[in-house]
Amino acid sequence: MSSVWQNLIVFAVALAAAGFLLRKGWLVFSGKGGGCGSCAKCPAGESAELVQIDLGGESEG
Amino acid sequence: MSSSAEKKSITVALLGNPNTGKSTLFNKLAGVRQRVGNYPGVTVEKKVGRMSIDDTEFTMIDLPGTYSLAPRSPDEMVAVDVLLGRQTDVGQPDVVLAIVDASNLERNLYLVSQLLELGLPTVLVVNMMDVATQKGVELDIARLNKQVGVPCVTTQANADVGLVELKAAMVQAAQLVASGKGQEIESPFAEAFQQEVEKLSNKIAKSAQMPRYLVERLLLDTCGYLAEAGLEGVDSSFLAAVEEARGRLADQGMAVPAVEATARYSWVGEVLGGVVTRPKTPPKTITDKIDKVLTHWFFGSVVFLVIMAFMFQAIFTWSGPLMDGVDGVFGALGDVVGAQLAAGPVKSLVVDGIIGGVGGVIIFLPQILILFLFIAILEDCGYMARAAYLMDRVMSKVGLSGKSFIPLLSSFACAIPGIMAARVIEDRRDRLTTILVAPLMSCSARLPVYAILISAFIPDTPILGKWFGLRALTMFSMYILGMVVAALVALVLKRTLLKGATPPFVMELPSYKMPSLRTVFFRLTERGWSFVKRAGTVILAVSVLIWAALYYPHNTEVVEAPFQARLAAVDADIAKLQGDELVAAEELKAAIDNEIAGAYLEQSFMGRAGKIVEPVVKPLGWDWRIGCAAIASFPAREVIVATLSVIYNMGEEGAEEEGIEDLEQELRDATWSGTDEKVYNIPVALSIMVFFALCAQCMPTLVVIRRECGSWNWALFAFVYMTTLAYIGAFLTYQIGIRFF
Repeated sequence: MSSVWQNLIVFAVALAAAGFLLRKGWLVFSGKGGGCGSCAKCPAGESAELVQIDLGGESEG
Repeated sequence: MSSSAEKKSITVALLGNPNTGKSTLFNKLAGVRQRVGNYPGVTVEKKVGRMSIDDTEFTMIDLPGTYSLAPRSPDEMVAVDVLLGRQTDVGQPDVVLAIVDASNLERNLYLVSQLLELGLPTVLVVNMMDVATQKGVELDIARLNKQVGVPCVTTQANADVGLVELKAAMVQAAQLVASGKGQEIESPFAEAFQQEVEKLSNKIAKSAQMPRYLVERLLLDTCGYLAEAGLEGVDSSFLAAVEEARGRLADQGMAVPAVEATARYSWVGEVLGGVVTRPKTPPKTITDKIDKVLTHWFFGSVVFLVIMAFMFQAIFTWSGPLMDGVDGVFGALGDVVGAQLAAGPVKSLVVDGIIGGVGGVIIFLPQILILFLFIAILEDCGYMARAAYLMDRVMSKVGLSGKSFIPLLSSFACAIPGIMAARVIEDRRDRLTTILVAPLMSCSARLPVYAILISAFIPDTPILGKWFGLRALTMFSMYILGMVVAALVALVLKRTLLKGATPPFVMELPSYKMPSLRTVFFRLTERGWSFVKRAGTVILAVSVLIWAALYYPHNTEVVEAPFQARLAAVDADIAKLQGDELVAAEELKAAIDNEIAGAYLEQSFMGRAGKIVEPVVKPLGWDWRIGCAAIASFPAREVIVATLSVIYNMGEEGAEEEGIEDLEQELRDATWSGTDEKVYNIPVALSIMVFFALCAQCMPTLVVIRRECGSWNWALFAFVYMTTLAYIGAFLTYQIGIRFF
């Protein structure tokens, strides 16, 4: 594969990565979606009203 | 309620005090894997589930655990709004399941008395019957059923006891809804009080529609939360009328707010008359006996320290073989892929950027899992509540109550749910203080940063035999550092910007129990999968960009020209030399190759930017590579590990051929540009760890601070003060450290 093609491929990959991070950043900033991604369901993107904060972690008995 | 030819749809809300087994019951009914923990901590999730019985579909809403329906904080307001149908996201519940702790009906029924005033069809669920039995408490449920005026069902949700009866009661309640009949419950308040509420309702009705219950709350709410909540129709003239009503009530011996407690507990007393029989001497439960030690200020603190020490030691000891396994897999993958691809940008991207970057982070999966294994077990067995109890004494010294401890505790996993959990704190200043110090708790994203530097530079010296070593102590110290600095910052904030009295804290200590394997397993798989997913998304994307910034412009002529003469000479030597001289010449060629790789890095976009950054980070003992990695980690802290991994793989000529290198070794071998002087030593490693323990390198956290505080100013304040502290801390650590090491 010529170096031109190689450069084009990595450019496309880098562009996709940048697009992904920009979208992720926008979602975080606008409060529309997830936080850092460490949790399966990040509360950061939930609506302020429906996020439940449970004082009782709830004993199983 | 809505109905169709096939199915009726009923919305059911679950309401109860903390620690009444509400989430367990919710899971059993709706079949949802809701996170369950045996401590009054935080579950920050949207909880809606569904179940069907015959021709009725029930939509279940799990409301926040609360002691009262008197809104004094945002989370309590959520519960009230949902019950009054004021939430736009969900409709008003048709039926409410009021879940109460069988062993503590007196306190639990206070909330029920408020709920019944709303007039919603209610089923009283007397849960945790096993705990009542253990405490020798006997209940006459038939009498309770008659005296409370709503259907009562006894359950032990964790053992599926009473669920059939509960479902039958829900169906009956649904039929009540279908018939349009409500439950008429007599108000616990005296006639004079009700008349005042009536007058205020009539007054506000001229300008706005407000449920009678909210008008009653406005009359009772002396702390002013509702008055300032921006409710429609609540203006100065209405508030003046409220004040006048309070005055008239006080004249009649019904001073607000005491009138509420008097009326409700009087109602509770009537309802429970002849229902509860307690033993004269309560039997000592196992929980009582264990608590004598674990909540003792000295012995409890010792046990806490031992548990923490054991946990951090286990993170290093147990994870070793697993980490070697993951390392081996990524090393082999790098070798295989590297062998298949021709030299060039694609190979460098795949081997150095993707496999190196992602592999450099994912290797910490075993340590993350061990950390969460401990957290899950400690939470589920009920120990965390004792830790909060012990910490209350410390918290009060810095002006915060134990109520702040729960959000801070959550922040050890991630600051975001911790910051949101601060909503339960009524006092705005305490809430702000807690939010601002929560990111100082060492979250799980910092673990890889600590782990790689400790493994690479802190000797594996035993301190207490094989049970506790220097590495575990160093990691423990980083967690302690975050806590100590958080305490100091809280102290300063509470005495300056956010001055205020220390609020009292009442917390219920749940019974101990054997940790549920299901709960622990669920928590671990959830965490493990999230970590892997994150490595495959955010970390992968950042690694690719870091690689690109380190690879380009890749101008071969400019970079390699200064080395051509030396390379040609060495190549000529290699062609004619033999034996030891040949080996020496080959070593020299490898050294020149490394210099070329280093020159490519320095000529790269990131290398050039790094040179601008270097003077700022040099006083911390860092070179430009560490500085760049620290800046690149702004989206998430563990990105620094991926960045360093990419940097050192690319800076090592031959790495492409050999696959990814051991990052620990790369760090140990790294030298300052153009010299043989090592970049990393113990003071530098500690300086980086201190910086990451204190810095605000987490964009989502700052966004959540902004949202919870309602202003970018507080988010900016958190970023500035944390970054300043991190820089000063790292500077002092390095400057003091180099005098000793």
